[in-house]
Amino acid sequence: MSVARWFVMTSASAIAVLIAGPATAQQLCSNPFFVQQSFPTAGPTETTWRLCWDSTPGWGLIIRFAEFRKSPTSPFVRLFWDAYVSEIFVPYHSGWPRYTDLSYGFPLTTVSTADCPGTTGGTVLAGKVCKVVRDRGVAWKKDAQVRRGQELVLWGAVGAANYNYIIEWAFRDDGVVVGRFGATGQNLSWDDMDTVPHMHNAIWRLDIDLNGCCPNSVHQGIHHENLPGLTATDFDTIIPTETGLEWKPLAFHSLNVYSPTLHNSLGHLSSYHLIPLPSGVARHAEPWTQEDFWVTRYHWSERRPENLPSYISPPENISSADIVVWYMGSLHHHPRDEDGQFINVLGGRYWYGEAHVMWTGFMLKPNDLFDGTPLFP
Amino acid sequence: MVVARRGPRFDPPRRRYALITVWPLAAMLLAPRAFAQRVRPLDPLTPRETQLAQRLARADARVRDLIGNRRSVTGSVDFVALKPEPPDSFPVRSAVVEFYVYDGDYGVRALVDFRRQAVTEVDRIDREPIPFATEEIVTAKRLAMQDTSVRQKLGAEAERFRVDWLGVTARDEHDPCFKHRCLQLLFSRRVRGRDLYLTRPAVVVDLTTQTVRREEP
Repeated sequence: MSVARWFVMTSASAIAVLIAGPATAQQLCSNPFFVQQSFPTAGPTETTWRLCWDSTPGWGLIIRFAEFRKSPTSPFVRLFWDAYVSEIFVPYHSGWPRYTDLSYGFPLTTVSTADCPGTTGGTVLAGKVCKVVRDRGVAWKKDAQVRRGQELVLWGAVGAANYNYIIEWAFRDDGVVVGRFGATGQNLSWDDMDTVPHMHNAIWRLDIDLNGCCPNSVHQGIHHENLPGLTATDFDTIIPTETGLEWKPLAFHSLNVYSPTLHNSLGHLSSYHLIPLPSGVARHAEPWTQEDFWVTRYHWSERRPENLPSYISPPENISSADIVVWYMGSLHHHPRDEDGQFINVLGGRYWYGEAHVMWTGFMLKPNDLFDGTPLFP
Repeated sequence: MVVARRGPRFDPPRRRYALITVWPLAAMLLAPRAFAQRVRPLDPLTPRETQLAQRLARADARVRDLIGNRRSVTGSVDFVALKPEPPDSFPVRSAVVEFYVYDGDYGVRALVDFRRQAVTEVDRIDREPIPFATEEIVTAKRLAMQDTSVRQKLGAEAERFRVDWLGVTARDEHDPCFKHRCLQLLFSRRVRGRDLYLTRPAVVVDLTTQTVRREEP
């Protein structure tokens, strides 16, 4: 090899390494923002999640580019471009105050080994996020035959003055994602607000890019009992244009997201179903709280829910598009003595106590993604 | 390694070539930490990027037009990963800079594309909250602690209180904070090993008018 040729080749290699972007999704973010977890944690790998996280003040714990691999020989399938709680809305029954706690700009508060002990599978990331890899209970059981499941959980807590809001993302070994929102803290103590019931509403914005961007379509799953008859019927109806939708418990409503490019080996179209896990449904005066679900076409600037009605007006076509789904979960907090009480010390009247965590959330469940039962021998 | 084995047979110019080309490779191999610090497409904004985004946004003519001579503050600078074209290429590393304009109670949003080092979109924002800036929190606390009636309420140990804050979202047009930028302050101190909130005073700072209001039943 001539010196000149060798020089050109080695220089080109060096330059290529220097300027090349990441070759794969797994390198799209640096440590500790990159998380990859294979299951089971012991023995041969069956399934794997990989993702990036971020914690910008005012946006809680953001998940980016979450991808799932259903078997070691399968490709990674993207689920999220990004996913986050877009607002925490806290209206009091007295009509005032009405806090929009997330968009005030609070950052995640600190997490330590006290929150996230290694003995329970925890690892503290960047001092503000807890990563836990843990047993999630029975995945399936048939008499003596049983399989326990595992999950990767990332959580952080928004420090919003007297309250902490826990934003938790669980990525399960069976491809399920569970998003949860928890509220804990000290009741508002001034003006005797401690006894005033209120609601903590979390509005998730889920930019689902199933099997990559795009197109995706969203269907509404509907269950209908043909009363007074004995039969029932399920529907899976496409949502053609941007809209807001009510979640009806009797109809077991779900939002089902499809990609035309994603099938399992049986040729069935794969989808992810958004299933609420509510304790109740809230409606307030604000127009964007009049629906539980919203489906919009992706626009980068549509990040907060306050203008959701204008995002869908006029409604754009979403039958085969880059879609975003929104879901509002609500916590009804009726104060109780267990939350705390006033004490008089140091010449002042103070609130003493902490309301324990209340939770709401949703599940994103794969449908016809696997070729058969996952985690099954 | 190859060069070292073949080195003795190199004439001086070849050796120079070898050194020139081997050095960068060796540096890359021996200094992985330096290369690991390269910003990846989905990494959070670096402090340098945050400053650059603010500078580009403030200098943009459309932003200047929308803000004019009105008093304003930079509410937030957030990382946004825009979707690329074609879809299978890398995310477009960007920042969203949001300004709050006191006179008129509105926001201005600028999208900064780091690849192009340019502001690519500017919008006026209405009916959407703009995060509070650190400087606003500092101002609110300073105004409150300078207020005689607040200090009287807090007593001789006023400086020992930690001051937390919440935004005020006023929907009633008779509320003094309606279409104003207001913060409610909460005072806490360590009691019995816990950070506890004091019931009184209830203080609202109006950043638009730079005034302090004590709300007592």
